[in-house]
Amino acid sequence: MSEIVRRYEKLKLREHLNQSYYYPFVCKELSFILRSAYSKLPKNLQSILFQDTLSSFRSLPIVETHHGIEAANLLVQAAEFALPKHKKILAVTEFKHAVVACKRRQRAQRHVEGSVEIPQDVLVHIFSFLDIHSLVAVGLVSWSWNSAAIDRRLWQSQYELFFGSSSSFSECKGQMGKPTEKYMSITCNKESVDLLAIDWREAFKETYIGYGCLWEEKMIQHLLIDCQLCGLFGYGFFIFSDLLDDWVIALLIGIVSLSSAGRLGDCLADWNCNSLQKFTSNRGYCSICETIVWLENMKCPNVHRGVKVVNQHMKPVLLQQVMEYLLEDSLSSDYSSDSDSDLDEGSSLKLWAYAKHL
Amino acid sequence: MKDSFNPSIEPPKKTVTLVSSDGYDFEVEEEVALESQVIKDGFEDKAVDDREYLLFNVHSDTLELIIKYCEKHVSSRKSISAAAASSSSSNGEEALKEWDEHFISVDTNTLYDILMAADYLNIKSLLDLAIQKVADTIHGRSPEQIRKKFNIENDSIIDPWASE
Repeated sequence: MSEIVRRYEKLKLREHLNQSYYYPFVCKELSFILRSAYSKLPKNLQSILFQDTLSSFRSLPIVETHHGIEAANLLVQAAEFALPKHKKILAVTEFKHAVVACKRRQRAQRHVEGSVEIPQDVLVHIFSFLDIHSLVAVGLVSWSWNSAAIDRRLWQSQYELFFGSSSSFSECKGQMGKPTEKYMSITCNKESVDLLAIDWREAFKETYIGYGCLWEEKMIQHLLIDCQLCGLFGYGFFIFSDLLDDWVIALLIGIVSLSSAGRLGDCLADWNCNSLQKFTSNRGYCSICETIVWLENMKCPNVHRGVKVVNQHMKPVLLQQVMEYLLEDSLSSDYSSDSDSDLDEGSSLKLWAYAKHL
Repeated sequence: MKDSFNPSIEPPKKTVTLVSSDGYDFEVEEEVALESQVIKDGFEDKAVDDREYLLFNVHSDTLELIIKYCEKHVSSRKSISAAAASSSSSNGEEALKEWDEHFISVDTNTLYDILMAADYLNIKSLLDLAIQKVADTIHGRSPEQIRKKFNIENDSIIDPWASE
């Protein structure tokens, strides 16, 4: 019994409540767990879940984003559905307080005066700490932010993060095929010099689309990442029109060619940004930690001594899979202690449907 | 020079006067002021007696915070190295990190002031701290939310909502 609580603690839901970026994901996971498994869970975990639900409502005013409120709304619906009567009342009251506090805070913030002008070099420095989603977002804030956000160094590091080393750029393009030919012609002649001449933002886009056009089975993993990306973009789907147009096309191509590829295909069948958002979790399975972690820049946030960061591949995980991970033991005691080690042998194929392709 | 007259008495700590943009004087220990790379660089060029720095870009409110930060860092660096010398284990670094975290948890305007002052005075650790905080604030927000948070006017021609 304590095993399932331990696994729940490992999901680190509570720890991420105060970060506006993760808040919607935490709420989504909580409501998912509430809806589909609350009655099946042991008593102690039920009460932990209830406490976490309450504290997520309490965190709402801190988070105060639009999506935070939406996610909290989802959570309160799930709580109404799953919780017993007295707990339900407590949860709903807490939620109402949170919404009021949130609105009050928003109103107070409107009165803050004085505009912010940050110099370009500082902006670029700030943006170097951002992940791809936020980088796209800041590029659309204003002109000065945009000109900082298209800084080539930023996109070069994003490129390296997604597609591996930038020095292997031309090799990788060879495999990519058509979409990147344009860049191949620039770079192939004098490689070392031209690494400086590459427009990394364009290169990122091109390679990204390249991944979309060339669907081999091993690319499925990348599509999963794509979907996570897109789910996040779903936040302000139209806002991102600048970059997203091409990306959506790439993604659509991918989805069409993937429509027979099992669960993912099912997930995307009724494709729109809302439903996509529903299925994305911003979660990954880290083979080194042997647990589900929150993705940070597509990487495991934990520090792994002696393991090269470059080699660290994350398997993106769907919301449903987080759930299955949590319930695994209580439902099927077969995989109890060494469940993590036999993942690759397909024994828990349902959970890691794509593990064998890696 | 003065010290040589009175070798028996411990030399008084050298101080530097920092003048904020609104004309307030802050007397700080030299060590603390040298946290700023700009002051450090200027220090080498200056005459011995001239121990006054006019900081045209830093308001007194901000300067007070900056000095607080530098003092804390100088003192805790001392205690950390002292602990290391006596090979006794200490969680000084962790405590400092926590202190930093608390220090930088301010509203957006103050954060902006700190960021600009740290940039102007070139205090690397503080600049990093402030930048990380701004990045955290941006993280996961939509462009519109970022504008609201930092009070930025949308001056871009492409208005994504215009078509609706």
